Amino acid sequence: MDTKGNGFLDLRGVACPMNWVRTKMVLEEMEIGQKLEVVLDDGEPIRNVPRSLKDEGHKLLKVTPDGSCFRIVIERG
Amino acid sequence: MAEPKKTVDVRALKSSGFIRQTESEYFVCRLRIPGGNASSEKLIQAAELAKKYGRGYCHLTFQQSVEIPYVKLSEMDALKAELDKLGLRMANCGPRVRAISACQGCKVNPYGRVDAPGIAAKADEKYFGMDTPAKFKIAYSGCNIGCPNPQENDLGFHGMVEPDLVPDLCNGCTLCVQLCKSRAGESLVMNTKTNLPERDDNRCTYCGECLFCCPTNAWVSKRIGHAVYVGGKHGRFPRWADRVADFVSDEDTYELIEKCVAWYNLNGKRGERFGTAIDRLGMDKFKKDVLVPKFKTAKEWDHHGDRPKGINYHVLHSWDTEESR
Ligand code: HEM
Ligand code: SF4
Ligand code: SF4
Ligand code: SF4
Repeated sequence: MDTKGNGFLDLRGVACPMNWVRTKMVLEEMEIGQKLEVVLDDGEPIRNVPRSLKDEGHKLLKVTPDGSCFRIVIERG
Repeated sequence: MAEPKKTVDVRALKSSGFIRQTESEYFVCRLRIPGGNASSEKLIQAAELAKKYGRGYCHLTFQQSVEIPYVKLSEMDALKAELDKLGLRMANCGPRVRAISACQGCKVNPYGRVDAPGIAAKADEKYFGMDTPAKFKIAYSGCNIGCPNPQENDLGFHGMVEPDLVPDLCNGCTLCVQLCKSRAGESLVMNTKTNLPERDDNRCTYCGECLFCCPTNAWVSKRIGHAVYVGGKHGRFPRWADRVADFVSDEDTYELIEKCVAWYNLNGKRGERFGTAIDRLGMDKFKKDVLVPKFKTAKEWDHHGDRPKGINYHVLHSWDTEESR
């Protein structure tokens, strides 16, 4: 997926809920429709962050496993 | 002069919720907390009574009762009178249906699929204290993580849900597939042609993770119900319960409690636990007497062709498998 010109955030090792707080801060600086790629750990993070995205009206476009973590692509809603 | 010795019927006391302690002049007063939820008011009252009649502390039992230890024999009547006035009810001990336990269930716990404490409290109103050949423990669990140990109770339930995909709503993000794979039943795969997740009934544990996580609400619940386990116990000779039915409705769990207790009273020997009676007489007889034709496991439904394939309940969670240890 082409995420050029958009954001990237490596949140490996960042626990809930700080990972969501940081994602939200970056999303708030972005324009609607722009994309943000985030790397999340397995376990609580991959379960919790998408739920928060849903609650705040952002779109989750893609989840790709990458070793013991996941790369997710978000569209600012 | 010594007081005239009061004789005590310890057995009768047990059924009323007073249990004699090791220090035999003292009794434990066991309070009934159906489904594990008690109002703040009642808890404060219990704590006050523990100060007044006990030693200023309460014990929380494994079966979700609140106990007031160190009540003097001479003060039991006064304590009972206060409890009655406050509307605090006592739990029980001995060969009968015990206070029915539950976890927080769907209203509090994001994993919960059914209102475990609500259903348990209703069941408790109906069946608490019914006499049985030995103790009879019942537990309701919100989901198949099973925190209240449904497999270690004489009769145990856990919530389950059958997910169904609404293809038009799915954007193909694959989140459900990843979560099912990493922590649930490994039953979802992405169909690369349609870009939609496909569910394998043989592997699905009906945990509902996919339904819960989907950002576009593309999964809906087709059926919600309870899985049913019979004959579990821990103790010196533990017995893992047998899973005998799936997708049982709230109301039908009550019917099952009634039927199981009736069967147990008819067939169980005095002091013999439910699971031991089932083993002695055979699971086939139990099923024929109690379950047929209404209650079946998802797997058994398959053989009759009126259900999709069943479920692999040897692997309830990825953290239960050899690999994950
Ligand atoms: C509002 C949030 C939550 C509440 C109120 C809650 C509550 C509970 C309760 C009451 C238990 C039963 C403990 C017991 O009686 O032994 C439990 C067990 C458990 N919870 Fe949660 N929980 C919550 C969130 C979570 C989350 C987010 C996870 C993990 C992703 C989780 C994972 C578990 C697990 C694995 C158990 C079983 C523990 C065991 O087997 O001993 N819970 N939870
Ligand atoms: S059994 Fe499920 S719903 Fe109940 S406390 Fe455990 S995780 Fe939550
Ligand atoms: S999580 Fe929802 S949107 Fe994403 S693939 Fe699964 S069903 Fe589709
Ligand atoms: S209900 Fe659970 S096991 Fe079944 S497909 Fe959904 S996540 Fe996987």
